[in-house]
Formats: sequence, C-alpha cells, structure tokens
Amino acid sequence: MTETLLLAARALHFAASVSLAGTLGFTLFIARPEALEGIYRRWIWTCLVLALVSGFFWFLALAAGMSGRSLAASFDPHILDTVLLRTRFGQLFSLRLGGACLTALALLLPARFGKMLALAFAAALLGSLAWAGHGADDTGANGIFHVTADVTHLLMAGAWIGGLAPLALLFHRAILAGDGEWIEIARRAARRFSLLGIVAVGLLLASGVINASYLVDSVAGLVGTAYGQLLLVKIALFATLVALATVNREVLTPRLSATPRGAKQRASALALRQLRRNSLIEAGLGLGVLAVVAVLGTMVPAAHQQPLWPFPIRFNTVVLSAPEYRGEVWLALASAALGLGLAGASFMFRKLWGAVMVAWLVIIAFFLPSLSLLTVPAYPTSFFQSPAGFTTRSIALGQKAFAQNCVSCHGAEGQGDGPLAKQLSDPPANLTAGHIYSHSDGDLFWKISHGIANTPMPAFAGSLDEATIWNMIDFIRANADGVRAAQGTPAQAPDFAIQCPDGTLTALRQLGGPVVHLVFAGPQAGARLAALSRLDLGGDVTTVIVPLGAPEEATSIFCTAAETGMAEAYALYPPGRGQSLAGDEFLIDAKGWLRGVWLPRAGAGWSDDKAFRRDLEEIRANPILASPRLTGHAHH
Amino acid sequence: MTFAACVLATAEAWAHAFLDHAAPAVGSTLGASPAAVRIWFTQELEPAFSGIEVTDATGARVDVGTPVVDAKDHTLLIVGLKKLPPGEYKVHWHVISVDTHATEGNFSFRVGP
Repeated sequence: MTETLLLAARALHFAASVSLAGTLGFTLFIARPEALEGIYRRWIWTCLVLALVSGFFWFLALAAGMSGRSLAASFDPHILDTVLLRTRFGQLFSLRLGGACLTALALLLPARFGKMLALAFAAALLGSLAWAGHGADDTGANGIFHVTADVTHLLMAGAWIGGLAPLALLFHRAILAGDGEWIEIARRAARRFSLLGIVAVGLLLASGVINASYLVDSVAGLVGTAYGQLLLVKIALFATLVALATVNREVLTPRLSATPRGAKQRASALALRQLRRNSLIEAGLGLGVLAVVAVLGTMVPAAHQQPLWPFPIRFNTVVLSAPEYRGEVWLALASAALGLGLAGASFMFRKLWGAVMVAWLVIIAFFLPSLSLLTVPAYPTSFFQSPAGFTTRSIALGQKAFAQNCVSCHGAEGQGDGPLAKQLSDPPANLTAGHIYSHSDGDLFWKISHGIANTPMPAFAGSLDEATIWNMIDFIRANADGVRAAQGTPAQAPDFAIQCPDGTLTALRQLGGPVVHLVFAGPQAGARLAALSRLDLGGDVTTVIVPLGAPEEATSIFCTAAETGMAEAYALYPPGRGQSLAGDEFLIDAKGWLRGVWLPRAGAGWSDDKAFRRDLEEIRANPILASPRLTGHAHH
Repeated sequence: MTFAACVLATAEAWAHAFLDHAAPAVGSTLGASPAAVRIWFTQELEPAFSGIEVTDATGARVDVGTPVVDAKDHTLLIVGLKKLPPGEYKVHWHVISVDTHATEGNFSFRVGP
C-alpha cells in the first residue's frame, strides 16, 4: 500500500513538475496564440495543483517508509516532525513547498515578467528533484558533477516532454480552424519546437549516460539486473520518442503549407493531423518514461546487485594484446568494418547490391573464426562479485572444503595431480596454471556449482553452500598465487583484522598507506620482538604481530592480528609449505602486494638490520603499479 | 558507444547506503574486546532513522547507548559495546540514506582466545 502510493505519487509529481515547467517554457519561447491563452493558463494551474497534491502524498508515503509504520500510524505529529525537520528529504520538501508557492505568486503577476519569474521557479522546482533521487549523495567534486548532470537531465525533460501537451493542443486548434493563418502558426511552432527538441535530446543523452554510469557500473549490470533492464525499457521508449520527433521534423513539418486548395492543401491537412497524433503518442511515451523513472528511483541500482549474465559468451579483449593472435584479430575486425562499409555503399549502387552482399558474407564467413577469438564462454554468474573478501578466514575455510572435495582429482596443491587424476577420461584442470587468471570469480563459481558438461567435473551446488564455494575460490586464488610466487609473480596479501594498543581497530585493506611488517611470533619470539621495538623503521612501516604463543608482555606494545586462518593462509606463500610459521616475517606494500618473506630457518636475513632496511627501501623505490584483484563491496 | 562503455566500466557505485567496511571487520576475529562497532556506509545516513544492534550467541544485546552518526563523517554509524568475553557476536544494521532509501544487513565477528 505504502509502496504503491509512493510510486504513484512520485510518477504524478514528476509528470506535473515536468509539465508545469515545459508548458511555461512553451508559452514563453515557442508559441502563445491568443486563442489558446486561457486553456494554457488553466493547464499550468492544474499542473501546479497536481504537483502540490502529489508532493504531499509522496512525503506521507516516505514518512511511513522511513519510520517503518503503516500509512495511518505514521500520520503522527512526532514522526512527521522528525521527517520534515531532521531528514534531508524533509528539508528539501519544505524548500520545494516554498518554491511552489512562489511559482503561484509569480503566475499572478502581470504579463511576461511574471511568466519569466514563474518559469524560473518552476525550473527550480523541477531541477531540485535531483536531490530527491539517487543523486542526493553530493559529496565532493564527483557528486557535484553527478548532480549537475541530474539537474540538466530533468530540465531538458521538462523543456521537451513538458512541451508536448501544449504543442498537441496547438495542432488540435489549428485542425479545428483549418485556415491558412493557423497552418502558419502550427508550422512555425513545429519548427521552433523541433529545434528545441534537438538541443534537449543531445543534452538528455549526454547527461543520461553520465547518470547511468553512476548507477549501473557495467554492461552486465545493464542486461543482468532488474534495474538495468528497466533502464533499457526507458531507453527504448526514449528511442521511439526520438524517432517520432525525427519524422515530425523531417517529413511532416515540411508538408505544412498555407496553400488554400489543391493537392498541397490536402497533404498539409493530413500532415497536421499526423503531427497532432504523433505529439499525443509522444506525450504518452513521455508519461511512460516518467513512470519508469518513478520506479527506478526506488529500486536498488544495478551497481549494487549481482548481475545475471544472459549470454553464453562475453567479450574478452585480452587477445588484442596477445602477440600470437593480435594480427589475426585486428585483420578480421578491419575486414568486418570494410564489409559493413561495402554493404552500406551497396544501397547507393543498387545494381551491384547482390554481388556486394555476397562478397560481404564471404568476408564475414572467412574471418568469423578469428572474430570468435574476441569472445570467451560465459555463464550466468560470470559477473558475480565474490562476497568472501579474500581474507585469511575465507582462505582457511576454503582450504578445508578444498581438502574434502577437490584434492582427490586436483591434488593438494591444485596442480591437477590428485590420486584419482590418472583414472579420469579428461585430466583434471591444473588450478595453478596461467589460465586461472583469465577466469573471473563468477566463472569459477558457476563451474564449481554446476560442474562442467561432458567432463568428470561434478556439480557441488547440492552438497556445498554458496559461502563455502566462494571461500573455496579464495583458496584457489591464494594457492595459485602461492605456487607461482616462487617464479616471482607478486601475490595479493590475504586480508585480516588488526587491533592496536591505542584501541584502533582496522584491517589490512583499510590501512591504505603504510608498509606492513607482519611477524608470526612463537614462544621464542621475545628477543626478536624486543629488538624490533628498538628499531626505528620510519613512519611508513607498521609492525603487526601474529601471536602464535608469544609471551604477552613482548607483544603488548605492537598492533596484533588474531584473525582466524592467519597461519593457514600465509603458509601458502613461502617455499616449503606445511611448516610452522613461528618466527617467519612478511612485508606487504601499501597496495596490498606481498613483497618479501624471511624464514629464519633459511638464514640470517632480516635479523641483520641493514639487509632488512635494504629490502624495505627496495619496496619503497619500486612500487608495483598494477592494482591487486579488487574484491569490490561485500554486502552483508 | 565506446565512450559510453568506458564511462560505464569505470564508474563508482552509489545510491542506497550499503556497508562499505566495518570495524571490527566483517567476519573477523579479534584478540581482545573492541570498544565500539563502527560501520562505514557507501552513502550519507539519516541519523534519526539509522541504528545498529549487537547480540551475543544467546541473543542478548551487548551494545550500549544510542547509535550515533559521526559528526564529521555522515557515512559512519557508531554504537558502543559492553566489555565482550570471547565468543561469536552478531551485528544487525538498518539505515536510511539521505536519498530516502532503507537498507539493512547482518554480519558477525568473533572475540578470540
């Protein structure tokens, strides 16, 4: 009930605000025939009243939604007070109410000056809706950019969509009158309006792309979420509007002619009727767009949802930079473009049409296999973002699940060499080979959940829950990184919580700055920790102790990490797995790359201060420019 | 089209306040009792309608005082905690962002031994 009221009130409020500003603009800048002044004025007042009434119901529905009560129960002075005075929407609501009153006052002022003033207030009323929607988060320059785009979008919608009703009315009046004078008025209005339309469509497109970029963060978000799909509906409605407007401008308006009789007069009369019909259809489509907008503004934007990818393939542009394929793929792309050009040209040389089409098909068929290199198989979950967070905990849990479900075929280190591997019809995948990096987390999630058809890889969706599968993927990533670390490939350090003596509570990935010196401190760590406490490494190094039985008085002055799975996850990286980490030390750079490890059993290493400082200096001087795999926002 | 694709690919995710990060971190284990739960959201919050409840394994409330939105950082919601003995704790948050949208969620953290 509350939700329905909210959507209806929003849709009506958008339509009334757009129509109010649009009609005022129309009467000021497009046409204002005296015969229509009365009806235009009544229309403007109707819009203003509708905007006020719908705005009131919008406020009521929101108060109910915010307080989590029923509509009737939220009709309580305390709640209305809180919403009106202590929320940003309430403050905006008060301001807009004032704006509506000022619009009404300005409308009472005489002639053109009053109208200009009323238009300014109506435009402010319309533009301020930007703060009532998804653009409300106006922090920083980025926010100002988004809000500017939002305001532009609203104003242009007002100028164009809002002007359609008065335009249709004008055409209607001209049809009723049927004389040359009215045809001329209609022709001039149609031409001016189409000029306005071109500007409005251009700005709507530009600002629309900017807005969409904030709320839909990928193509997958556009095609794979309810928000994105509804946005596609809006875009389709908009495209139809533009197509109709183009017909009006290019075909129908030129046919309007004040000639009193003959074929030209009949064509002109018909064109006028078609213009009226098209304007009404456009106004209807415009209402449809605004209804979609009313719904979109209450939905969770695509950028915050897991998109379901609807296609069996996805683009993979990696081949464009792969030396062995690059030439072939670029040649195929160029040929396809040439073929398209030829196909276009064939329209101009009708006689050659058949031959050119055949040539184009041959070219395309010849290069199709090369073009298919640009795609890789995709699955519905390909663009899912893992919620696991690549933490020591998720990796340790994933390792446990991997040991129970995967090692018999893939082997303990995932290299495809498990005890059952030799008996299988297809050899199990080596999960540490380079190809693992070209599969998204979402790809792996699908393969583990649903198996791989026509191979021995079974589906685990029935036996493992989703969280366990995501944890397993984190382990597979860490394991591959660990195996390849021996060859010098940098690894992304698993995340963990950090607690400092001053009460600060943070996590590795939230630090965003210092180099972290991670020390696994066993029972014998007292001397080393005492030495470290005397060592001044500079302000950009934070030492974090992982207590593995270290005496408490030795660790109490350091930040500590007591995270689950610390030992299991970090044991994946140094050579010679399976040994206790007690005494081992790691260096993690500012971006979260694992840059160095010292195992006391392997030599003096960092116990020599000079060697340690040298390694630190090396990390400072040679940052890795790439960003570690991002895990995105985890929603909990 | 390419431009649109580039813009679409690089954009930031906004609107609706979702959990950005928290201290104690989501799912984390701590060595000692934290003094408060702090949650940073992806958008500014309406203080009048936003809250956090923290419960222990038996479901008893362990948060103290009224949750507050940080005076400087309006995306940060904070609630104080009693001294927590080792165990598993559940955090439930429910917020309304300044663009009027309601969101809620749960996560847990552990206090070691």
